[in-house]
Amino acid sequence: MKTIAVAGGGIGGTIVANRLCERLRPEIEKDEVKVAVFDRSGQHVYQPGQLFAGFGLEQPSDLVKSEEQLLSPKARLMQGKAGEITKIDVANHALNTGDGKSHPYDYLVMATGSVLDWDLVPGLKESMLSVWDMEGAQRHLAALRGFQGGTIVVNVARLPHKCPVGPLEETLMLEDYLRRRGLRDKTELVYAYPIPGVFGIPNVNKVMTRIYEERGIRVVSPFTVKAVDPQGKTIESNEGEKLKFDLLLGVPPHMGSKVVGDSAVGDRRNWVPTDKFSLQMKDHSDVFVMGDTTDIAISKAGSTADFESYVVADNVANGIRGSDVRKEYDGSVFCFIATGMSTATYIRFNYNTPPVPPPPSGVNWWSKIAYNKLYWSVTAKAMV
Amino acid sequence: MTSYMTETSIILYKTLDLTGQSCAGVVGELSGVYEEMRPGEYVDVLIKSDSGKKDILAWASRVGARVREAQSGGAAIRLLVDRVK
Ligand SMILES: Cc1cc2nc3c(=O)[nH]c(=O)nc-3n(C[C@H](O)[C@H](O)[C@H](O)COP(=O)(O)OP(=O)(O)OC[C@H]3O[C@@H](n4cnc5c(N)ncnc54)[C@H](O)[C@@H]3O)c2cc1C
Repeated sequence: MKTIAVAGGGIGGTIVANRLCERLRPEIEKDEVKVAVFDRSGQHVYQPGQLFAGFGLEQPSDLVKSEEQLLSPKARLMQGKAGEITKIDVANHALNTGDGKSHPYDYLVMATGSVLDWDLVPGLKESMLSVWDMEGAQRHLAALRGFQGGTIVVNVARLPHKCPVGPLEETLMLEDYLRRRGLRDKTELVYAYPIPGVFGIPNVNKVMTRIYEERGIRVVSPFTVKAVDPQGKTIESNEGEKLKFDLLLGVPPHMGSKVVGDSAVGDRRNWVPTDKFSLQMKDHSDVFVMGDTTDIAISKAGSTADFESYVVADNVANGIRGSDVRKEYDGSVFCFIATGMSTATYIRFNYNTPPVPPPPSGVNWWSKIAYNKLYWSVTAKAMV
Repeated sequence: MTSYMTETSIILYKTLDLTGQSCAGVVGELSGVYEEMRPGEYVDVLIKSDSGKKDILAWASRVGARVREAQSGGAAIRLLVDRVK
């Protein structure tokens, strides 16, 4: 019996496990192969919906389902202590779990994602409302509902973070939200971003900068937050700027999952060194890495994990079957970008082809909503 | 710039392939890694375009990083970015 262990049952882990169960169905049915998914929570959170929850467009309860509901019945789900990975032991090809057991694997897929590193910036946790966590999304909504005018700063603390287009979406949705509530004239909206401009890809930056100008959003960049004063309500940058705010929204620093650091398999921010084409962990051909977990210079996004899942599932299945056919990941990413409360554009690109965002439209907005809704029944279940 | 180490004492922290499209852009990706580095370490960066190089040089002069150009052995531009303080 060959064992494929999938570490993490979030977006990447779930899709790849379902794809593996489909690819290796005959072997699984003959008990020659086992796909085991390890996730400590057993709850699957659709994080992209948190942005909408922060504006009251989604119910938080609709963004969480039990992992069991999403996983193929052919996969084995280890959850709770049995699913809590305490060590990824690549030298001995095993995962250790919180119940004291060790689980040997033939192939490992690492998809333990990223976490928010609030403590990197003094005062940030006390001051920033962030839809980058579920509880923050609820506080974000309450704060917006109570807001009557003043200065709102949207700050991205550090790059990279998950959903790189998210801060653009949050700012443009917010601008529209304030207009609809008759508060736009009473509000100064400031976007403080760690690199020059509003986004890292030049032609997306150009399009978005123009939209920001048209909508009267002040851009302060580069702005690398050094500290926040929760009492004085000021945010200060390494570049020497200090901004006053009535509301501070945005994105805290990110890093890879703690178990990556505890297992000494990542860099200093717990990102795992990964070959950008094969998605294999460097120097470990039996370990594949996907989604937010990798150190690849690519978007940390659910769509990235989805595109990567085809490559990982095929390469693991081929390896199990003794075939040396291998697929390569081409850097594909697809992200909708909400440009208000009823319009959106999108970017589609890969390593070699830059994105060209089309003009924002209502059709793209509804496509984004449809994509979110179809996540549970189509994307997570690897139906396509 | 504080006391500077000799060429030979500089340690490679990691290599960074920035030849593909990335949402954070070359400066976003590099600045994230730079923050993890300790003085005396460098990052070996591969980029594709002269505009990326220009952006990195502008960023480096802002944060006080030292940039050296090296042979890439291919079409890419290879920069060694030292953390000196
Ligand atoms: C506000 C917001 C908006 C977003 N919008 C979009 C969007 O529009 N489009 C898009 O493509 N992406 C979007 N994303 C990004 C997307 O949600 C993430 O990139 C995606 O979830 C990454 O998938 P993953 O599998 O790598 O990690 P995750 O989905 O985070 O899953 C990681 C899993 O690993 C588990 N885990 C971690 N450590 C352990 C351990 N030690 N033991 C056991 N289990 C462990 C966790 O419990 C979790 O279930 C958004 C994210 C946010 C926060």
